[in-house]
Amino acid sequence: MSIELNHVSFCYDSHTADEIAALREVELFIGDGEFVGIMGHTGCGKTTLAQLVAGLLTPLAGAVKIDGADINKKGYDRKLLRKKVGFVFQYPEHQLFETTVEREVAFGIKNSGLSKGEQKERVRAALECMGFPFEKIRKESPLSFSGGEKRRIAIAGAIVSEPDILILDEPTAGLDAKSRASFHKIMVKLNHRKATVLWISHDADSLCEYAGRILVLEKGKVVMDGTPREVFADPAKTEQYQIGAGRVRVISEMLQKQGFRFRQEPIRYRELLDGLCNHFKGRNVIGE
Amino acid sequence: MGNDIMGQYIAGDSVFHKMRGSTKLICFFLILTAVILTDSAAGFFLLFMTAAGSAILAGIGLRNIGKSIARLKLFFITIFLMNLFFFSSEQAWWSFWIFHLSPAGLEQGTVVVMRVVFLLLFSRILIGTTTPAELTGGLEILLSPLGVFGISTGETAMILSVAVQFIPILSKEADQIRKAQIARGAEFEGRHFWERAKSALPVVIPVFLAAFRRADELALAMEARGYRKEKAQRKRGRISIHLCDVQAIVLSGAVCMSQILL
Amino acid sequence: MKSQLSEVKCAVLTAASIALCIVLPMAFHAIPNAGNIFLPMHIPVLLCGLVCGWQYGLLCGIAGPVLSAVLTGMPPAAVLPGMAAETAVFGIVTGIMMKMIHTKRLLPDLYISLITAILLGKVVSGAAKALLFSAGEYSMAAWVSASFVTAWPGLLLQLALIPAVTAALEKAKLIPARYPNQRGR
Repeated sequence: MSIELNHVSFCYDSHTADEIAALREVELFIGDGEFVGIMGHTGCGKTTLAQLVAGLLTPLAGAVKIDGADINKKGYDRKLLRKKVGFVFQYPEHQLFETTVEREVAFGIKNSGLSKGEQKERVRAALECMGFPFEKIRKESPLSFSGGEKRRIAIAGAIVSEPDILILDEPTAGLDAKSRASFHKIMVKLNHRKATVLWISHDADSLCEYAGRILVLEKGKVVMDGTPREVFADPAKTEQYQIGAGRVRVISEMLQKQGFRFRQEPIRYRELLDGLCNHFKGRNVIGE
Repeated sequence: MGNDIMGQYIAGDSVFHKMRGSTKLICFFLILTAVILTDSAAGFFLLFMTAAGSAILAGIGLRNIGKSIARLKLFFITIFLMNLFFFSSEQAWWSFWIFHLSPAGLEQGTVVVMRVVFLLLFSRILIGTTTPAELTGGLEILLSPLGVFGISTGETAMILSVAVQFIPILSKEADQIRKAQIARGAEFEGRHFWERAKSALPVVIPVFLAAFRRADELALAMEARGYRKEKAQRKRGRISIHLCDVQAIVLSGAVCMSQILL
Repeated sequence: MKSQLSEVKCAVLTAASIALCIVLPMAFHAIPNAGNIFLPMHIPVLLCGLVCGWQYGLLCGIAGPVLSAVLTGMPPAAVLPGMAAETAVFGIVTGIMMKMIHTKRLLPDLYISLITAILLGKVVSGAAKALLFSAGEYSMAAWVSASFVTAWPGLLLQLALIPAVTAALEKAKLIPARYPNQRGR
């Protein structure tokens, strides 16, 4: 499913003294199946952009289109929109409320017209994708799990409707290293499912690893749009837009200061590792 | 949403701004009683003069007030129509099934709407001239009799000021939770009551969890910093009461008494 | 429940409950059709009394509606005095009942406390309205109809929601379990 924003603007508290312009005249096209990272300083409009795409906010000006259809036009099937777009908020474990894990995850597809059996299978698939043994936890209370587990249950609740567009707002915030690592494995799985993914994050390393395209926002405008390599090519711009270079870049810069040469700037751990391995095999110029 | 409430204070120099929070609250309750007791044309006229005078003294423009009232126009229309058609069936001009358009209903509808409008007016003046800190301070003084039951004034003060600080935070969380559940496909329009009741759960439970979680964290932080109930006793200095405080209370009392008589 | 909570915690939980008296009605207003019949402000007061005891319940019952009326204009003036009297009673009675009743199971404790609180609250608010605020306008029929007939959906909702919220809070370990060795309900 493709996403299009045509001259979209949005303000919070419009027409009041506290008006904040969150997005200004944003023009954007995201194709079917793309994996897009969204970065930028706090308050630059990332969450606003995501919520506009999900139809949780209505733009002040311009149109938000999914597969060419304006989602805010009268008559647009909102129920279908909810099914097609999965949204994982920050700290999604805060929205858990049901008495059992099965009911919690099934909440999103309760009114979708699926039979009880089909619903159960979807819930099973979603929980197993998140690394849970379905039979063992289905009757447990979702509130009795650890923080990282609660988060994975909440995300299962978002993907159970098998959305074509999945939006994640800083999904690894506050997670320990182990939980983050297991989350990344799940991202790889979801990527292969061919959904269009929008991933808001401050974690440059993860985005470089998984995203094919990164958007950088500043003060409500898209200031950079390209592959991870293009976006992180200029350290001055990285500094200016406060997007943080990530450990791979930092390490490669330190190495270059010591005299290492890379044919191509590594932006992924694999590339860094390959470069180092080649060097230690007796070459000085890496990447040949 | 939190901005809606917190942003209503308008800094100024009027006599209202100078009055103590507790005075304004007492006056507000006296006027509130007056509003509830008003039911004659002369009574409403007196209220109107009081409101106009207060607004001028407080330096709050009519446009501000007008906007607050305009926002609730649907509420007013509903209340008016409900009273108009359901209040009484005596001497009805027109009747059909359970609907009775009567002069008593018309009068009652007008009276009720006017009462709410005046309440809004006075609330606006109160909130426009009193910071949240002053409001809670005033409320704390008025609630000090609770000290008899084991909650010290200092503790009440702390509870109220924490409550006011929690409002914008919890408001934002509630908004996020509501959006999150909508994004998951929650439906709030059920066909009958029980469905709509159940549909409240996905918002109510997480909001309470969020509130209690925040309270938990704050309590831990306070205990870690050595907060003890005894320490919460406020230093009671001399309470200074100004002439304007006394005048305000007397005037409000007078308005209230006149409504009883009118 | 209450004896296991420190006084600081009770105080801060009361603050959170008061804040919810203002936040919940606003959240419900954003949902179409939900606001007017659900009396969402009663829920935090009842819960505060249940969890923290009657003094805190009383404080919440008074401060909640008053602060809400003053800060947001809801509830409207004509309703405020009656509602504040009602919620004050809610807070007190739930606190006292939870102290006195120990059926060894959470749900019966909750239901008995809630039903008693709601009945007594309605009685007191009706009496208060009749005696103090509407000086004779209130007839028995009006009281009964206003208190129960129109508000019964809200009353049922409180009876349904509060045990669910309490169970969730216990599961999340945000309040101490009333009967720690009990499994299930």
